[in-house]
Amino acid sequence: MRKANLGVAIFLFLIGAIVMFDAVRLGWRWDPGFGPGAGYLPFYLALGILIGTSVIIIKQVRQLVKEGAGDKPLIEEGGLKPILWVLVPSAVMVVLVSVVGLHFAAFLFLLFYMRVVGKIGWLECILVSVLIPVAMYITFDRLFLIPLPDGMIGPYLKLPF
Amino acid sequence: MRKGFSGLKVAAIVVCSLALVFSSIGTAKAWVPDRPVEFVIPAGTGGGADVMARFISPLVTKYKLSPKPWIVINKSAGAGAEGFMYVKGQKGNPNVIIITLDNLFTTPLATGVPFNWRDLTPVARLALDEFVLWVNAGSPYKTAMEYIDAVKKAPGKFVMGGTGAKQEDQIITVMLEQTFGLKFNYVPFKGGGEVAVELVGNHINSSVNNPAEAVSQWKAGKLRPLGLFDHQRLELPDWKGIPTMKEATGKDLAYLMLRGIFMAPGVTKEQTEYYVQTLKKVTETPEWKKYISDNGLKAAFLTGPDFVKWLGEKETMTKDFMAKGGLLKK
Amino acid sequence: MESNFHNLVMGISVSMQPYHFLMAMVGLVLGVIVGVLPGLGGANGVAILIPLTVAMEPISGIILLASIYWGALYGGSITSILFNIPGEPWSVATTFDGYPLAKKGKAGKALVLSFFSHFVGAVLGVIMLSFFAPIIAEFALKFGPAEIFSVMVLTFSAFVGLGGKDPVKTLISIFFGFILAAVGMDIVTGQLRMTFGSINLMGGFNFIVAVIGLFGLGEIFLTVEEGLKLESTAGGRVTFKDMAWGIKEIAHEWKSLLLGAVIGCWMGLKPGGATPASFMAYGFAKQGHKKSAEFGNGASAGIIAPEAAAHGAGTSAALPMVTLGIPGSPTMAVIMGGLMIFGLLPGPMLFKEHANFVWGFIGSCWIGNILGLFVVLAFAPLFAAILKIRFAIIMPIIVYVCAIGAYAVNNRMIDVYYMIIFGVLGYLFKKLDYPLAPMVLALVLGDMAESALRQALLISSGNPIVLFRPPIALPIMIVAIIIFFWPTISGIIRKRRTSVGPG
Repeated sequence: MRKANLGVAIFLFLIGAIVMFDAVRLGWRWDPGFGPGAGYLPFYLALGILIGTSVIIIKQVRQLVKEGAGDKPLIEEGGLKPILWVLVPSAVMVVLVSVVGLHFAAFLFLLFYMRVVGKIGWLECILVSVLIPVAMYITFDRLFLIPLPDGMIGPYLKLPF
Repeated sequence: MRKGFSGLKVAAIVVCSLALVFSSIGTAKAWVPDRPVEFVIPAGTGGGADVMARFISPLVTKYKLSPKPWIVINKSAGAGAEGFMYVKGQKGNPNVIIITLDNLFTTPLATGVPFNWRDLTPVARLALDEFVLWVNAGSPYKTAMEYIDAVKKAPGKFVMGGTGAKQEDQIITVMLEQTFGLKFNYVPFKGGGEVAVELVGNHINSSVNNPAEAVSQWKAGKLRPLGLFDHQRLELPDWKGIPTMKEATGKDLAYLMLRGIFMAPGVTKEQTEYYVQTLKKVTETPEWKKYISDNGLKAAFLTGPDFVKWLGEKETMTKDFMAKGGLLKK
Repeated sequence: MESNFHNLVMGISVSMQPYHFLMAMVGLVLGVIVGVLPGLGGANGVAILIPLTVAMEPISGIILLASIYWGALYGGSITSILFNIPGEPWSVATTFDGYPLAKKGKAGKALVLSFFSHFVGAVLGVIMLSFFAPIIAEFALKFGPAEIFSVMVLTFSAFVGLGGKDPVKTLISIFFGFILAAVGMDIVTGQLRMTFGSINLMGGFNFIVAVIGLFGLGEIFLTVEEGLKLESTAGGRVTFKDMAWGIKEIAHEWKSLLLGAVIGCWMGLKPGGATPASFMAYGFAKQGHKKSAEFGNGASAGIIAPEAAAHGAGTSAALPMVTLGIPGSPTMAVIMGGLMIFGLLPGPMLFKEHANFVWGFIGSCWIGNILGLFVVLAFAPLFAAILKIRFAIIMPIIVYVCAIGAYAVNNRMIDVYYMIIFGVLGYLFKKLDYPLAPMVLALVLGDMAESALRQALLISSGNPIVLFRPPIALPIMIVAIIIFFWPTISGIIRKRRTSVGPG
C-alpha cells in the first residue's frame, strides 16, 4: 500500500508541477482593478497540490525506509488477475474502436469476456454478444441519430435498414 | 456444356448492362447525401447559431430536401475551435457541414489555433445578424448620445456585458471606446441570453446583444434599444423604430455577424451545389421568413465567388478591429 | 392568483385530452429510456423529436417534448442506484447512498424511494410554476455573479463533512477536481488553459465522463477484486410492499424531503442549477440528520434529499424559460429552440401573447409528472430484474454502455479513453482513501464558481467586498461560513455544555 500511495502522490505532484508551469505563463497575479488573472486560481490550486503531495511523499518515504513496504498490499491477494481480466479487454476494445467501430469492438469484447472469463455456454455467448450491439446500434445510431464511431470497416458493417 | 456457357454469357451481359444502367442513373442524378449529414455547431446549446441550426434541420426534413436526416452536433470547445478543426479534418467527406458565426475569424486570431476559413469549403451566407446597443429600460438614458456622454464622464465605471472574450461583443465595445474616446468595463458571460438577463437584473449597465437575444425582454418593456450597428435601419416591422448609430450619434458604426454554412475541404463542386440549392430552398420557406423577422436578422443569401470575396473582406476587417483593440494573440 | 387557478384548470383539461394524454405517455417512456442510458439525456430525446413536432399543433408538440424531459428526470437515477453509474450529472449525489442500499439487496426499495422523492420535488416545482412564476422570476433576476458565487460557496460548505479520514488527501482531492475543471478555454480572458496546444484538451474534462469512469468503472474493479458479484437476492424485485415501505419512509424523512425539494426549486431558477442543488441537498440533509453516520451506507434520507432536489430543480428550470426567455437547463435550451420553430418567442411576452399555450404547458407539467410516477413505477421491476443477470454477462454490457455514454456526451473518442483512465484513477483513489465526492463536486462546480467569482470582481473593479454585498450574497455567505465551521462550533458548544452541566 505504501508504494502505491507514494506512486499516486508522485503522479499528482507531477500534475501539480505542470499546472503550476502553465499558470505562471497565463498570469497568476491578482491584478488590482481587474481581479484575478487566468492563471490565478490554477496557480494556488497547483501550489496546494504540490504542498499536499510533498507531505504525503515525505511521510511515505520515511515509513518505507523505516518499516519496509508496509502493512497491506494495495490489491488484495488474487485480486489483480480479475481486475486485469476486465481492464485489459476493455482497453483493447476501446483501442479497436478506431479500426472496426464501436459496435463490432463491443461484440468481440462481449464474446471474449463471456466465453473466456465467464465460461458461459457458446449459444448464450453468441446470442448476447450479437443482439446487444444490434440493439444499441438501433437505439443510438438509428433512433437517436447519434452516429457512433465506425472505424475503418464500420461502413461495411451497417445494417441494411 | 455449350448451352450452359451461353447461359453464363447471357447472364454476364445482363449483369454488365444492368450495372451500366445503374451507374448511368447514378451519374445523371445530382448528388444527394448518402449518409446522415453531421451538422456541426461550433458553439454551445441555446446560442444564436445553435438555435438556427436546430431550426434548419427539421425544416430540411419537413420539406423533404434531403434523403437523410441532418443531425445537429455541438462542438463548442475552445470558442468553437473544436468544431472548426473537426470539419477541417474531414477532408473529402460530403456529409459534414458546419454553421459559422464570427468566431470563424475571431477564434483563430485570438487563440492561435491553426485554422483559417480557407481551410473549409464555403457554401453560403444565410443571413447577417445585427447588433444593438441596449440599456435597462429603468435607466435614465433615452438616446445613445446621452449614454455615451455619461460613460465619458466616468471612465471604467460603466459595465458592458458581452458574450465571451475577444469575440464580436468585445470588438464592438472596443469600437465604441475608440470612436468616442470612452473606457468601458467589459465583463464576459457565457451566452447572449445570460447577458440580457444580467442587464434586466441591473447587474451590468449595457450590452450589445443581437436582436434575438434581447427581443423578448425588449417587448416586455425591460430593455431599451439605443442604436443599431448598421448603415441602414432594419427593414422589418418590429425593428424599424430602432435608429442606426449614425442617426443616434453621428458616427457611422456598423458590425454585422455572419451566419453561414461551410463544408469540409476537398469536396466536389457537385456536392457543394447540392447544399447551396438546399439552403436556398430553406431560406425561401415561410418558416424561415418568420424566423428572420422575429429574430431581427438581415436576409442576405450569398454564395459562390461573391461569398468568398465577402469573406476575405470580412476577415481583413475583423483582424483590423482586433489589432486596434489589442485582442490578437501575442 | 384566482385567475391563475382558472387558467390552470383550463390548461390541465387541455393536456387531459386523449390525444395529448397519448403524447405524454409516448414522451415519458422515451424520456425514461434516454434518462437511463448514461451520456444520453433529455436534450437528445427532445432534439430527435423536434422535427416530428413541426407538423403538430404547438401545444401537442410541447406536451410531447416536455414529457420526454420529465421522463428523463425520473429515469436519470436508475443506473446510479443499480450500478453506481449516474445517468445524468444531477444523479451523482444519489450514488452515495442509493448504490450502497442496492448493494445490500434493497435495490427495489432504493428505486421506489427515488421515484417518490422525484414526485414530491416535481409537485413543489409545478406549484411554484403555476402560482408564483412572475414573483419568483423577479427574485431570480436579483442574482448576479456575486450572488451566484455565494451560492457556490454554500454548496461547498455543505460538503465539508464528506471528506475522508485524511484532511491532506481531502484537500488534494478537491484541488485536483478544480484543476480538471479549469482545463480548456477561460471564459473571462479567452485564453486557453493547460491545453498545451492540444485540440483534445481544449474541450476539457467532461463531468459525466469523469464520473462514469471514477464511479462506474472504479466500482467494477473493486467488485471483481473482492470476487463479489453484482447480483443480489432480494434486489431483483419491486413489490407493493416496497412501495408501501417507500411511502412510509419518505413520510418519516419528511424533513430531508422538504429540504431537498426547496433547495431544488430554488437552485433550478439559474442555469445549471440542478447538479449543485442535488449535492447541496445531500450535504445539508447529512449535516442536519440525527443519524448522519449512516449516510454513505444506504441511508434513506441520502437518497430522498438529492432526488427531490434534482427533480425540483429540473421543474423550476422551466420557470426562467417562460418568464425570462433563458433556458434553465440544456434540455430547456433545446425545447426553447422548438418553441421558435412553432413560431413562439420564449420569454416574458409568452405569458401575455400566448397564454393558452403557456397554461397548456403548465397543465402538462402536472399531468406529465403524475403520469411519470406511474410509468417509472411500472418500469421499476424491469430495471431491478437486470440485477438478476449473471455478472459475467451484465458486466461487459455495462462497460460497453459506459463507453457509448462517454462517447455520446460530446461525440468525441478521446472521452472514451479518459473514461478508462478515470476508472483506474477511481479505483486507486478509493483504495488509497482520497475521497471522490469532494473531487467531483469541485469538477462540476469549479467552472461556474470561478467565472462567477471573476465576473463579480470585474464588475466591482477588483473589490472583494462585492462578494458580501447585501441583501442576498451577505446572508448566504454568513450561513456558508457558519456551516463550514459547524463541526468546530458544535464541538465547542458540546464541551461547554458538558463542562457546565455536571459542574
